Amino acid sequence: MDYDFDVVVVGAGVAGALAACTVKTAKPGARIRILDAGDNGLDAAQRAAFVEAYQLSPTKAVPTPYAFLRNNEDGFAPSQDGTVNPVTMNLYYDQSGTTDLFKSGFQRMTGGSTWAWRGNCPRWLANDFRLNAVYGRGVDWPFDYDELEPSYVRAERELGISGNDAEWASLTRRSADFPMPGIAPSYGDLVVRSALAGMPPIDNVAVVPVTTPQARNSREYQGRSSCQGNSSCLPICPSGAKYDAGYHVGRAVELGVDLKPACVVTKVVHQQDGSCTVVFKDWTTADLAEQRVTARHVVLALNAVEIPKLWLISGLRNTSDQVGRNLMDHLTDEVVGLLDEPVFPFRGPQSTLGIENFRDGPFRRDTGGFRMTVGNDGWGRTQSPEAALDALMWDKTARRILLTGAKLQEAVNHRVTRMLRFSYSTEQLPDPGNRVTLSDKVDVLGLPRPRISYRIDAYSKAALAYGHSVAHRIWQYLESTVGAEEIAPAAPAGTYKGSGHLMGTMRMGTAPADSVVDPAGQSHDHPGIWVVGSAVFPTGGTSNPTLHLAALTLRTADALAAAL
Amino acid sequence: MPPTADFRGLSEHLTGTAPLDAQLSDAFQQRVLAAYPADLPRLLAAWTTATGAPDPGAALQDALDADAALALTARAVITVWYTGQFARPDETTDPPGTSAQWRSGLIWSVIEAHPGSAAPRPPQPSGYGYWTQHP
Repeated sequence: MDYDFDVVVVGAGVAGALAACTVKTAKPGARIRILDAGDNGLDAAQRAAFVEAYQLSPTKAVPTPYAFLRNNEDGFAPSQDGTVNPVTMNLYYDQSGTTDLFKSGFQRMTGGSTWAWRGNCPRWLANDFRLNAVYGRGVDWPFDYDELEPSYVRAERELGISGNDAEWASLTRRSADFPMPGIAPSYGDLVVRSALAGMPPIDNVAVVPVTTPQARNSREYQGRSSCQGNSSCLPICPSGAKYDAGYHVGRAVELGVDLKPACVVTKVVHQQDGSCTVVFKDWTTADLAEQRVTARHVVLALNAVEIPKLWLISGLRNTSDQVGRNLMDHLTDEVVGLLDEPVFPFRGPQSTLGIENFRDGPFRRDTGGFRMTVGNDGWGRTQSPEAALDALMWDKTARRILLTGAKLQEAVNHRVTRMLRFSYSTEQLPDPGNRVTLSDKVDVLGLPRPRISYRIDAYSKAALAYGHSVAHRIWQYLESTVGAEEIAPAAPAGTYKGSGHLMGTMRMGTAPADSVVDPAGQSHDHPGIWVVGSAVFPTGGTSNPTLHLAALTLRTADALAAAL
Repeated sequence: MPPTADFRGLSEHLTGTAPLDAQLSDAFQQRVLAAYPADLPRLLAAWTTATGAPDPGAALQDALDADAALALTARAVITVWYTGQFARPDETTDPPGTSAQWRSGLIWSVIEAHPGSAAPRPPQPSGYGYWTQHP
């Protein structure tokens, strides 16, 4: 039988674009189409328009550069807006009745959520692959670190990761150097490294700040400039020095992949011969009529909310009953303070330094591991410079002006230049009750919106508490040595924020009885349907997902190319 | 609209920065006036009165302390110069009129940084790695 395409990729984010590039490179004759819900450009003018929208936004919230895109503005392909205020959320997710709020969103646009990410790309640790075997928690991955390691090397080259080999050699075995030297440290990094140099271990764990590997150019790479220090990495990099999947979308098109934007896939029909019919709506058409395309293979490359939503809408088989389950994030919070000496934040990348030592240890039997970030963006989500100005200038209770003129300038400078945060992003166990299903509420195209049930379990709460404890003890050490003040919160606040790390819901495993896709990423129930992205993660590990999902995508793309 | 020079003079006093850009001052005055149509003229009148006092700064502060509506308007004037936006009386935000207004915010130079998404350019220390150096 003749099909319209050998492969249809649904979604033009990092996973979809990388998969398309990899398959097309291996099999140049393959006919590949990418269907993407977004319709944004990938050129400098489009980037400049995003920057302009960001600068004009009064909130500077993550979605602000992209809110004007028609798929967002007219609701053809919306996503949760990511605001921390549950009252003002756009409520794309239906979370009515959920125990806790799932707070992470994503960007439905060509290039996907990599338009709006910090670019942190540490590798996972060996024990992140065997949480059950070592600590009796969660499940194990169907392969180990060593098996994935060559794919990490390839992914680091594809995304363009800067990193210092010497700093990471003891954390993760490396068979090849980073493609670029580590990013230049911020001024505050130097201050923090110096201040922590003599710090005694915490709970017998050494506190060693290391340069964070990141998809941010420390020299020209892939035709993109070195980082210019615009300090707005999240939500928009004005220079393009930070990787976004627009790079791989562009490369895929150059290789001959057909990109069809503005198309929301509404259903995937798996035929008896193993092929698929992909049904979609082009939201630029007047009648929004459903269109169809046939393909020998389909790659679902959306995210951990949209993939199970599409799967369930399509009525595809779910033998394991795991589709949509085990939704995970890295719940995060921060301890802030004012160092006695200035660190001069808001110059350069938003973070270039991390502490990796609490990602693993015997405590993971009872408490999730966590990765720590030393911010270069003041108090991060706790207090912006604008909020600091208002607090110093305006007494909102007495409604009077406290400071003006040079005294106000001095006070703002004295406060904001000393702002520093230690953040912790914590491990979350897979929980079958943390689940994406279909809401009875629909979007503009008539598709069910994702309904999310979510709760934070004791393991994650313990991780948040332990993260706070370690961050607070680091601050106490700084207070007693180099001097610090206004360290807050003094105790875990019981709060959390999302990291934008949507994981799980299409878990990978060897057994069809308890996993959705096989170790290569192919559906157990529907051979010929492949899933890429962090939806396939059986556990969420202790560091950012993008490099990891890129490495997995390369494996899946190799297997798919071999199957063509 | 009240005399633009009065608004600029008041702004220079409240922000501690002079001279402030005249064109920007006109634009900010229009925006603040739209949000505070009664109180901005009263604030400017209070400033005019204060400039005749032996210590204009103290005189203005006394006027602000005696009138919460004037103080709220002064807060808007300070904030618009620092950030390109300000709080209206109902605490909603009056957003930047242009991206250039936002980039002009005094706060960035006060904290020895730059507006996010607008990296420094020569002759300022700029380009890859400028952020490692003391500003």
